Amino acid sequence: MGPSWDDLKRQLGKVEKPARYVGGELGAVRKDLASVDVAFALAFPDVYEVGVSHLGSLIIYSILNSLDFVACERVYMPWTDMEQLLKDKGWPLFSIESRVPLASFDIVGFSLQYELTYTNILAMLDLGGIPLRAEDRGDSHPLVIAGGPCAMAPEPLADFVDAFALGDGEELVVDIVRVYRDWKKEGASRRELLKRLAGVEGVYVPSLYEVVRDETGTRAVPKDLDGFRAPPVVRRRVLKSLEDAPYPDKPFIPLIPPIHDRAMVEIFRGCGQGCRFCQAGMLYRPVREREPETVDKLAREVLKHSGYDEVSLVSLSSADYGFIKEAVSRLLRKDPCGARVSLPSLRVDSFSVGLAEMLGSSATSGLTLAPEAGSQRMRDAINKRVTEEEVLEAAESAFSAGYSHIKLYFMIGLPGETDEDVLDIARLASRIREIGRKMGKRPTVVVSVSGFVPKPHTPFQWEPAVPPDELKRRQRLLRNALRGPGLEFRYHDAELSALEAVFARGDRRLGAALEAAFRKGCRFDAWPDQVRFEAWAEAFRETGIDPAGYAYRERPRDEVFPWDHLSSGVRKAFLWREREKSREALTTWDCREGRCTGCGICGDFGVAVRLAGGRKGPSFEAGR
Amino acid sequence: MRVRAVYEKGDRVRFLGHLDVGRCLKLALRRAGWPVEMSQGFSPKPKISVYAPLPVGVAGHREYFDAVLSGRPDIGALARTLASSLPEGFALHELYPVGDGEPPFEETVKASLYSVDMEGVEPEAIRRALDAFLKASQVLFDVVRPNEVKTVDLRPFVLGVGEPEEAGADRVVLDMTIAHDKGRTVRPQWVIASLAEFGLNADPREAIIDRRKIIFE
Ligand code: SF4
Repeated sequence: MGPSWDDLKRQLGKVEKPARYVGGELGAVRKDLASVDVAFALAFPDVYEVGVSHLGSLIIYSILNSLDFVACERVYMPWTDMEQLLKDKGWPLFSIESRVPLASFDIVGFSLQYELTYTNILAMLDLGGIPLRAEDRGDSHPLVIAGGPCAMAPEPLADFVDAFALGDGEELVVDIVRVYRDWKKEGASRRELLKRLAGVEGVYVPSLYEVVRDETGTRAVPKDLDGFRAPPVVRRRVLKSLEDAPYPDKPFIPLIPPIHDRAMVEIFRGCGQGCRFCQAGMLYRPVREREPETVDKLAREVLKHSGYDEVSLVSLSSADYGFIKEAVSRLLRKDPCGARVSLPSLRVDSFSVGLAEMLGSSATSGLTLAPEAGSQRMRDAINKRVTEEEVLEAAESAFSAGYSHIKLYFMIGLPGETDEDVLDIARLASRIREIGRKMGKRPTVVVSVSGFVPKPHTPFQWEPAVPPDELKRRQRLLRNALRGPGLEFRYHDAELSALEAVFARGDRRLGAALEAAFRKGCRFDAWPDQVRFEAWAEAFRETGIDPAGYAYRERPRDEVFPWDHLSSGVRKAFLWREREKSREALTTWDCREGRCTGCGICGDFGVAVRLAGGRKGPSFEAGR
Repeated sequence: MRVRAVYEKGDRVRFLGHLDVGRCLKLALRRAGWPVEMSQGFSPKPKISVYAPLPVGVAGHREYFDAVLSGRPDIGALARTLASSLPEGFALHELYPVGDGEPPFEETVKASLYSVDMEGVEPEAIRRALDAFLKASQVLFDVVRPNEVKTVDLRPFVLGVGEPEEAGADRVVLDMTIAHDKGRTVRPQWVIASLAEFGLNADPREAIIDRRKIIFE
């Protein structure tokens, strides 16, 4: 059993931010767990404030709780002090709503947003009283599933997770709980459940596959189980339309501020920009827009329900939405909703700056632009289709709109990057500062750089990451070039990028290293003040893993990847073509602009780019 | 129009900090549709004052906040909309208008009456420690903050303590009246912690503390 409220409250004074573990949010759903067929624990492997901001989890929570045979409760990774308290008191990790142990749920579903949360997943299973390894779990244990972007290359977690849910979760999670309910009623074996799940489109059950390693690479091949074979390739689930999908217009409202403390409306899913480093840009195709009337209606509903004074119109590149100006002006001017509007992820152009100006944020906050690379050659290579003139124009419009604080995001360590490319970041920043000065401002230009990490299912999946020492040298190069008033430099931890690079393209062998690191106490690896690199180094050594082979090795064209049996819908041939174009610094357009670029998903998956307002999307070209 | 609300920060929301409470009330007032006036300036804020901060962990049975409203809305209607907009754990007890001539709230607060609930201690042991505490001329206590350690004399703030009462097996509850001096006050947890000096062996973090009421001049 989990602790009673009286026992818990006597202990919570010992931990930081105890409200993380108490729940009671407005709009949280608490059903009687004994009266439903399926008790589902939605597990987020990071702290509460991060987890409650995650839109995907809000969507799944509200869909599951809308089903009368399911109760969905939440559980977040306890901070280290709370983990200690749980151990000291002998309490299991418990759900927020009913305070019952993780192990007492039928299904535990993890959200996989980031590779550096993997040790937290093991910690949560362990604290929850669930055997870590799938093979050690029996009929009395929960089914452990996981979804989210990392589920598309999940082999490092394959030993610990029973089934991965690939792609859009809205329909998939309902299919999964239905299969589970029917199986439970029949009282069939756990193996039978796994087989049935493998029959659901979008579900990958790793234990039904054998990993074969040879000179061509690492492949997962379906095992022959008395005539049963799981599909050789599992396809990601893709919602045909976002417009018709359910949306959490009455989300729970945390009592302590989440990292994104505002209402959210997803205006479209997918992205057509085709930046070659960006995994999300490849994993969520095709673009599916919501109708502007629906965006408006949802924004007002969430605002009314929550009491928030700000609504964020979220997507991977919000300025690309076909009705963005209309949507913003309707909420702010035509029929004021009484709240501010914010747009994450703007493009680097005057149009976006104009949008930012409409939002009226110039006086109070800075403007963030992400040119991603300093030189034109490098921007072309990564398909960030923005010219130097456009960047400077955007900066000029920003200064004339009243911004004086401009933050620029870049990556270093990109494939084919030279020192000149790195120094061009500093040149670009100085030029922007000059523009600001000429316009009579006292500009601050903040340059924020992170290390490039090659991700599966992207054109750069064949590319090596740059080792931390070299990354640090490039950081220093840039820092020295960026000295002077009005220029600020910020960078991400190079070692963190290296660890991420190992797990992003990991195979099943990494499971042993992951478990070893967890046993050594590694937690919150994404948090620079928590990650323990020495423990990780030991874990790799003890398990015979060469992390460099995962992170810094360039893969040959015909290598079979540990995620090749999981299809995002974007063909590997397209990714390779993009990679070749990258080497010649050739760009590829956004298919939303009218012509298909042949990524393959629309034809292969029977889906289409859906633009709002009845605008015609590109007609895809089959089989290039 | 300025209105004053007497509300409860209940057991279930005791772990909210003062800023969290302010945020929850602000969201609730927007949900309730109260016409709260906004401050001037670059980032206008609703004119709400939440008084007499309670620390994380401490519940409050009769807490106070003021809101400045535009127009003269009906008090009964305001109370109804707010009551139905508050999250679980909060409750609205009273709502009334306050005139412009009133002295600032914090200046009118004389003391807070707390109840302190402890487990695993003998009433007799607490009684003895408290007697010694009250006899002392000063009780210095180090308040550890992230960037500084401040020493305060707790003694003058403790106006009185009630008789420790057994509340079931191994549990003791007692009242404690703590002074406010121009907005300055001390926390009951600090007083419990300082009792170690007088021979009490109790973890102040395990004490469950409620402010029963605020006492005015
Ligand atoms: S198949 Fe063509 S139209 Fe469809 S998402 Fe890919 S590039 Fe765009």
